[in-house]
Amino acid sequence: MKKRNFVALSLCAAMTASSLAACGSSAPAQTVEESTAKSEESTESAETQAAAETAADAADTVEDFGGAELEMVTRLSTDGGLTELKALCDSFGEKYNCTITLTEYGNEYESILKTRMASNEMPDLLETHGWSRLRYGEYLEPVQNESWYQYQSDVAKGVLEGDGEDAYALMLTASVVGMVWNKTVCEENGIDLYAVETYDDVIEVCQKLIDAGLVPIGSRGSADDMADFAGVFCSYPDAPSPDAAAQLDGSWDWASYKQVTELWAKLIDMGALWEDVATMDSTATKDRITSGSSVFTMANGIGLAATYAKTNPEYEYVSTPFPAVTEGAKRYAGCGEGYAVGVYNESEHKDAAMKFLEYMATEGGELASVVGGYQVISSIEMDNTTPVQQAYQRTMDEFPDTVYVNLWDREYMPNGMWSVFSEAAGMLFSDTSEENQQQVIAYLKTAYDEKYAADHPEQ
Amino acid sequence: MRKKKKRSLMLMTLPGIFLICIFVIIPLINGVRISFYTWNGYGKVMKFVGLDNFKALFTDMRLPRITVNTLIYGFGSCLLENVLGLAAALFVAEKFRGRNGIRAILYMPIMISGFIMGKIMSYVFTLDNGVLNDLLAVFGTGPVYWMKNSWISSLIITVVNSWQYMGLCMLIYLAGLQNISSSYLDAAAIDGASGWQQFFKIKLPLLIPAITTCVITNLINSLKLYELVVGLTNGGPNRETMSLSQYIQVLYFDDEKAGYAAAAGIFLFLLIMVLSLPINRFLRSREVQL
Repeated sequence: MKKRNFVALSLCAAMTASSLAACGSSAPAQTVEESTAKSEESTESAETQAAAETAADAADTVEDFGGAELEMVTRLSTDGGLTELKALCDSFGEKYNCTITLTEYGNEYESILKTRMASNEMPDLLETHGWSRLRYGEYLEPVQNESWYQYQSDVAKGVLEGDGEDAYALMLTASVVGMVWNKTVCEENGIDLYAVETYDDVIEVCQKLIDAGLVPIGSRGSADDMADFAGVFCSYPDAPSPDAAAQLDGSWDWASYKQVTELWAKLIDMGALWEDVATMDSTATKDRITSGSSVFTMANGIGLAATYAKTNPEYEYVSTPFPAVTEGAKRYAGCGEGYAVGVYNESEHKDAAMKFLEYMATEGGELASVVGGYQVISSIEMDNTTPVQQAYQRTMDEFPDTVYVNLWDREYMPNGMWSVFSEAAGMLFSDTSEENQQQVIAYLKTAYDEKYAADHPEQ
Repeated sequence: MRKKKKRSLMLMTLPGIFLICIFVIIPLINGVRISFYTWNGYGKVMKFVGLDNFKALFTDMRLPRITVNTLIYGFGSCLLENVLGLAAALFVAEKFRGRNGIRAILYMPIMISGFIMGKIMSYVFTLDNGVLNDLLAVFGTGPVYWMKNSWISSLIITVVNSWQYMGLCMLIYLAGLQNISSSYLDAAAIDGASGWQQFFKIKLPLLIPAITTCVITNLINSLKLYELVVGLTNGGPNRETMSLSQYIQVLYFDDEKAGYAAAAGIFLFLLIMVLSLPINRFLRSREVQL
């Protein structure tokens, strides 16, 4: 009897541990060529025409993939491009005699894909959402020699290739991070958001809004808040402490990062963030910005302006690049993979999958317009009248001198730092004391040193 | 004949044993194997590190707090679910108008997934426009940040979890109560036993098998609590309301420390074993055979 109980309980407990087990380099940071929206647009029409001609030539010799069945995994939702992606897959299937089945993973996309990588059960096509090199690289087929790759912009090539490495994805759009503002509430409180050029201006605006009884910043204390604009303080040429070289060679002492923790400490202590910032989620941020009880976010995808407008169209929302630290300095916006797709390098149907990328590189305009982002391939025609594209376009038009650079953590940090920033945010946003700030920096430095060493075993 | 019957019964267990092997034993062995490696959870490179992951558990600054949370969720929920479930069972065992409706209402929260329940409750407790704060506003009280103190957050999680799963205990106790012959209670009543005496001297001893089932099931489930925590606090503030299950998930998928996560999984496995076995043995020894 006792033995039976023991076995029964052991099995129950074993279920716990086994549920976990069942699941189962940094590439040196790259230099992204600075590029403004205008310079991208200038060559666009000529290249689009050239690409169309290439596509027309290709159409003369249509390949037949003999009814091949491919799987593509996606994180898109019905109102965010899934319908357009399905249509694209269907039209490709019809044209080339194959079927692309879409598997929708939604919010669980990353976790499920990690388990699929662990079990070597990869789909033929996958969206790479910022991780084409660092995470998915070893599973993806290089694409830099494909005919369509020439139409990728320099910004895209910088993001995709890093420091002269292989590129592993077709990138239709880049996602851009900056600040998102509720313009209506700003105006109601006499704030000209276009005059906010430095972080000192941000603090001034916060004080004005606090005096008006609002909680100015709707941010929730995430990795974005710790990493996205850190380069403005400690990496970019105009930064007060341009430590880029040290960050890249692993010798950075993180002292200059104190400016970031101090900024947050100041904002939190003055009451510019919600008291529950440490337990807020992105829904809470959206609710508070769109209800007008908060006015802006410090670091978010600028396409969020369109999402917010959809939630509450009574207000007008505007995205801006990150402010500078000193007056007159350049303003930056972080740029990463937006909508990007790669091909599994051991796929049974690699030829068909690669053909699909080629097809997407010319026919993916509608999809890219709905998903939204900064156009980084000139061979597609994007519809700039979709709400999300209008949000992007507006930012580009209103801030034409913005410098678009690769996301700071992807550029200057070793692989695996994102979750570290996430935890550091939890630490900082729940305690802004000087002692805790030092602990946050020490925590970041330890993780940075460990991960840098892991990525550079030769050093 | 008897041997034949035994053999056919054995054969019937084979599909179950097969499934347990596929979904429990093999993954468990694989989990133990992974715990001896550093691995990001998806890459092709694994590095053997021996017992390093287990040693790291002892220096993990987060683990003590997360273990305490897990124990709070485990024992707190187990206690509340059983006390409330038994009380509810005693109540709905009585004959009165509408008792079936009340049974259904008390059981209803179980039908909602833990994650959804967590999300619903996060809207109740949230600072800005939270249900609770809106109610307080009616009485002229300003908004309260309920989740400010992580210990209070842990208690809120425990209470919500207990409320959600209380209905299951209620059902098990109700079945137990209905199995108690009324002749014992009638005889006790004739002998002048009060309601309390009947409960403590007759009902409770006869309910020990039901108590064993409820306590062990709830304890193990609550020690593995995951969905509710993710939905309600997502482990915040500052990972201080995380349960071990959530920590393992974060270590594996977010922090990309699969080997260490496997070691933490084995720690949770041992914790559940160490806690459940003696409690189970104790309760079994108290069972009354009629």
